[in-house]
Amino acid sequence: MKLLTFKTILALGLALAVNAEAADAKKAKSAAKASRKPAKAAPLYDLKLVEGDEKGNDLKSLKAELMVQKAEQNALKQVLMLLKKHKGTPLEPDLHFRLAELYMRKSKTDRFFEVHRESETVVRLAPRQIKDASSRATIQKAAETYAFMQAKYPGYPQMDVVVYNHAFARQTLGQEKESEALYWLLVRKYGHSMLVPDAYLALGEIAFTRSQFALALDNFNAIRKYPNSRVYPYGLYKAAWTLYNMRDAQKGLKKLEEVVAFGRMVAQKKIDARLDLRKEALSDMTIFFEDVYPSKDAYAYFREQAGEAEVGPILLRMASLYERHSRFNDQRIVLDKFAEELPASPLLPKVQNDLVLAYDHLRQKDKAVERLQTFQALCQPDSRWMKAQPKPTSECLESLNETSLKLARKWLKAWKKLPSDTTYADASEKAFEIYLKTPGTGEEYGASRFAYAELLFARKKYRQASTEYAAIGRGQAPGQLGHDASYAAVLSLEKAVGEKWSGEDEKTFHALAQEYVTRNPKGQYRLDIEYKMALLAYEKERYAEAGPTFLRLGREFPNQEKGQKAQDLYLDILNIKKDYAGIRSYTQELIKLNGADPSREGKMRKLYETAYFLQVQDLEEKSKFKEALAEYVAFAKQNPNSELTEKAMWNATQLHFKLGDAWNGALSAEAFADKYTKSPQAINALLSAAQTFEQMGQLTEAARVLVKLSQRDEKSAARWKELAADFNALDGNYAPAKQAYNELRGGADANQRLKLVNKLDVLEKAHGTPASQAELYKMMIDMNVQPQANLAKVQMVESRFNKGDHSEAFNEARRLLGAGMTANQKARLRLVQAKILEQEFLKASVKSRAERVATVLAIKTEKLQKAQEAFQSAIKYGDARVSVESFERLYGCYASYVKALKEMPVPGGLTEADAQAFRAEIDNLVIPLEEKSVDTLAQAVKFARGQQFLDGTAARLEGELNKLNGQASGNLVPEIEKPGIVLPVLAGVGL
Amino acid sequence: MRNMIFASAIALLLAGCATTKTAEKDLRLETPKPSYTEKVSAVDLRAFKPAASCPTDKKYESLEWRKMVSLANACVKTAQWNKVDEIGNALAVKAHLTPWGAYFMALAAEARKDMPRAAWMLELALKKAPNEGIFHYQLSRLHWEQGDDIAALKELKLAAELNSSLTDAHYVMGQMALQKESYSEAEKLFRKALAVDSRHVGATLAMASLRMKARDWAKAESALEDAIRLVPRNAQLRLSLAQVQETHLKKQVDALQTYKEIRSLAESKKLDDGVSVNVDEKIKSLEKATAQAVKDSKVSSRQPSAEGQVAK
Repeated sequence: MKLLTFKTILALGLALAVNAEAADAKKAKSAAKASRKPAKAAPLYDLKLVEGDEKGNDLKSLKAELMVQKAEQNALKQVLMLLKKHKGTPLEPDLHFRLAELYMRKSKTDRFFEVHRESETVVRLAPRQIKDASSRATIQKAAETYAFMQAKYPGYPQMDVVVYNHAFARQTLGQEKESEALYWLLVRKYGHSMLVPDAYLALGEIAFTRSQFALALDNFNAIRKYPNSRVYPYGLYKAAWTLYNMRDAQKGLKKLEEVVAFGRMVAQKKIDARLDLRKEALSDMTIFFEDVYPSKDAYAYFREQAGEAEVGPILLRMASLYERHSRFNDQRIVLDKFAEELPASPLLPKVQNDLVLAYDHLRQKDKAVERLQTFQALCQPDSRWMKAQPKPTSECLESLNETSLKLARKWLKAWKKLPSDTTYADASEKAFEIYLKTPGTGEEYGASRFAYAELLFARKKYRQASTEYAAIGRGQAPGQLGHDASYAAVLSLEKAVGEKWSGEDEKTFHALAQEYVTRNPKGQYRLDIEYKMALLAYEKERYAEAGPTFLRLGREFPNQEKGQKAQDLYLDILNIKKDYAGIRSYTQELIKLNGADPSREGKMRKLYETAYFLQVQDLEEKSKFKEALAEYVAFAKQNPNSELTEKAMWNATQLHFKLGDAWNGALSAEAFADKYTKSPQAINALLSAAQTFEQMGQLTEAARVLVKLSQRDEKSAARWKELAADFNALDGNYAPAKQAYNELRGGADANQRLKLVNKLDVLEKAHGTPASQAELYKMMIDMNVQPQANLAKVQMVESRFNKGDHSEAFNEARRLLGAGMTANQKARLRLVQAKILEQEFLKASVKSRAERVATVLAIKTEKLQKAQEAFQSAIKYGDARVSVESFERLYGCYASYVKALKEMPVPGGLTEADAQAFRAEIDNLVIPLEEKSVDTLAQAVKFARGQQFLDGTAARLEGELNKLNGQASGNLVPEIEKPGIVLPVLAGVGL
Repeated sequence: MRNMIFASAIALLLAGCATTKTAEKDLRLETPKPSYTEKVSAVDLRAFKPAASCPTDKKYESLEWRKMVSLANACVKTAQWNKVDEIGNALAVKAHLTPWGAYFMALAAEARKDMPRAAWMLELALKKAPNEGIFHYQLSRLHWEQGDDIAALKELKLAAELNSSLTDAHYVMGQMALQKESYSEAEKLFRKALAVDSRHVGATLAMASLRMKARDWAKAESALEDAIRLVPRNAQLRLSLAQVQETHLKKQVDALQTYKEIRSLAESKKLDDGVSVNVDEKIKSLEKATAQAVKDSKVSSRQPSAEGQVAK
């Protein structure tokens, strides 16, 4: 059951009013006077309260109370003094009555100080009054004074007033029994008193307080007998509430209808307005109505009770009551009826507002939104309702905005909790739209638009979101919200556009981005935004626009991902422009800038190297070969560990050759192969270097490179090693050449071995010692290397012959002649034998005694024959040199024999005739020998002419033959001589 | 706040560019190819008169290669073979497309009797200038020196065919033809030699000899007279002339005059060789014979003023 608050103060006020009226009227009069003359009534003027000035107001109230207290104390002093003075006189009861009244009044002042005991101002300024104040004690004094009067002056003419006041004082002190007894005393003993209805009212209140509703109703109904009483309408009013508390709302409502009717009558008759309780009754009727009638009848009922002019607020109260009791549909019905019936009511905004909320309570968001829209239309300056108002009002719009924002937020929150239910999002969106339709400023407005934009963003309505964010960014003072909104505007546009940017979108993006950057120079997303701005330009190939931004961002944010991307893209722009110098310079800068990140530094270094390399390549492509060469070399020197250094060195090598600097080309190729041993070009480089050195006749260098090549090119190692040895041999490096040939010999096949031995042979012949040559020959023989082995054998035979070891030479020659020698070799061996036999023939002397002449000549002739056979045999083998030598030697043998015979002394002891006969016989021997001699020489000449001898043999033999024939030499031509050196005569150059 | 999604970096494409570019390049080294085709005249060392002297320092390295060739020639002339080798080496590097560095190094090697190196260098020179006869000529000399007559003649023949200015090549080949009694071939070759050097003594003598062998005595007389003008101290030539005049042309007066000149030159020791014929007897005999002839025919075919002209 509901406890109802009674309006005790009203009752007390009515009670006090009984005797205080005159005094109050006086006070009011003087106050009015003071207000009219503010200069002379300064104290009162100064005591006027000022709204909001709490401290000042406290002080002013205190001053007023102190003044009242002072006046009261003076009055009390005065009355007490008069009591003394008029003790025992007829004035004494009146003075006691007045004293009691003053106590009652003073209790109110004390009450002030009691209430303000916590006030610092009051305590500080009136500490004694605070301490001494006791309203209860003062009322008690009043009660005691009234009790004294009842006892001492029972015939006091105003005893009914004394009793009533006494009862009231006791009631105030909570002494209900005493109070109730006194009220009943008044009713019973002083039935004629005008205070009887008041006593009934007090008795009803006491019973009501004790929930003795039937007793209370009796007392309240007792007042009906006094329709002229000022408490009459209040009695009805209280009776209505008593019935309500007795669960008879319908009867209670009837009572209230009576109060209304009474009030209407009072108003019509212009009786005391204080008796008109229509307002209170109509207000409370809504409570009773709820229990009695359906909501659809509310308008008609209250229209009848309150009239058209006042029905609006009552209906609103009715709707509020339904709302409070969660009867939202009833609320909606009442309000809908209101809106329908009272379209011009100034309360209509409130009605529409409550309707929106009612629909929201009913979970009818669509209806709520519709109502919001209706509400919005209502608040438009040109709406019918607005035009119907006496003066323009902003309250409608304020209320609309408050509610739309409230609901927008509420629905947004609900949607966030349950994203699957998009009706909340739809409703929130519309509510925000309505709210934001009204231009506004301030933090809340900005935050609301931001929330709306966020909602749009979340619902992927990016373009709209961007617009809203942007509006916040523009309208908002710099701060977190403005910053976030400005950034979100950019981001939303990006989302809205996706991959393909139209010119218009890009323009918008640019404007939004510029705005962000301008308003937030140190904004959290400045990098992202400026980066994107530049990226768009970059993607549309506006490099002049994108480049400076990327450059700046890269420098400003070197350690952030975007900053590094900006660096990369700037590099890319430089690359597109083929500005390799720029890339070099920038990457160098980045290497320092990104030094802390080894990975990044590595990438930059690689780029630097690549750019450097490309820059050089560019020079090369422009046929600036010298510059390119110098740069490749510098690159390799500066970046020894670069992956591109291999290529740089290779290209430098190529350029050396291209520029005709084969020497450095070869050195460069060699250096390349030395450094990049595993390069696929290494072998090619070495081969080219070797070829180049070879072409330049730089054989030691070529050999050095070939040795390296032999170590790399395993398949052809032997070939390169042999070639290196050849070059070393040719360039005077005999020892390494010999060593290499010998090493190669170990792993060579028969043919190769033969070749190597031949080379060793050539080396030995030119630069070897006799011992080393002999060793080689022995080796060749041991190896049976042909024809070297046989030639070596032949040479050994010749050597023995030359040394005079004729016997050994002859026998060895004989042995070898049967050992598979070639014709030439046999010719030489046979020639050795022939020469030995020649020597034996030549040594044979023809001097002898007469009896031994025949024997001596026979021996000599035999030796000649042997030599002749040997020479002829040698000639038959067909070796030109051996043959011509054999012919000549054979001729020599004959000539020698002829000469020996011609010079042979006549043996001693012969007679002249015998001597002549001996001489004749010798001549007979000489003639054929001479012919044989000439004939042999002629054969030699003929043979020599047929050969291509360049040593003058043919001419020499011919001369000899001419001489032998006694002919003068007819050959005027000098002997063939080795032609002399010739020198080149180049055109345009003097000798 | 949500993260922005932006484009990724693309700059590292650079590295790819460089690599690709390089990869496209020819992986072979373009080493120089011999392309020397200059026609060069040859001058016999004995006839060579250098315009400059063989350098003693290395300043020649900064000279244009043709001038270096001239300096190398000067060094050959003075047989400064180390210098020849040095300049040849420098030429081989500096003017590596020409054969001259190798040629001079070959000459220096030959002078050191380093025949394999000399031969190799000449082969190198021939690789650079395959049609240059000078190198075949020098190769021939090397073979000659080493007794490889066949190879020497083969190279000499090539040399003569490729470079007409190689007088001695024609001459020696003519001598070889003469030795084989291929006289027309010999004449052709001697003429070539004389075409280059009209004062070539050997060729001139050979031409006279050829005339005599052909028994064309009138031409032989003329050829001998030409030869004597070149080598006036050659007694054999003068005797041959006298014999041709006396025996084959029956020009006793001329023969007498020739013998008288021989005697005069011999007496004044202006002949290189000894005179193998008794000139006084010849003069006496011819004087007697000419006197008788004058008496018999009363004809005088020569004027005394012609005396001494032959000796010039």
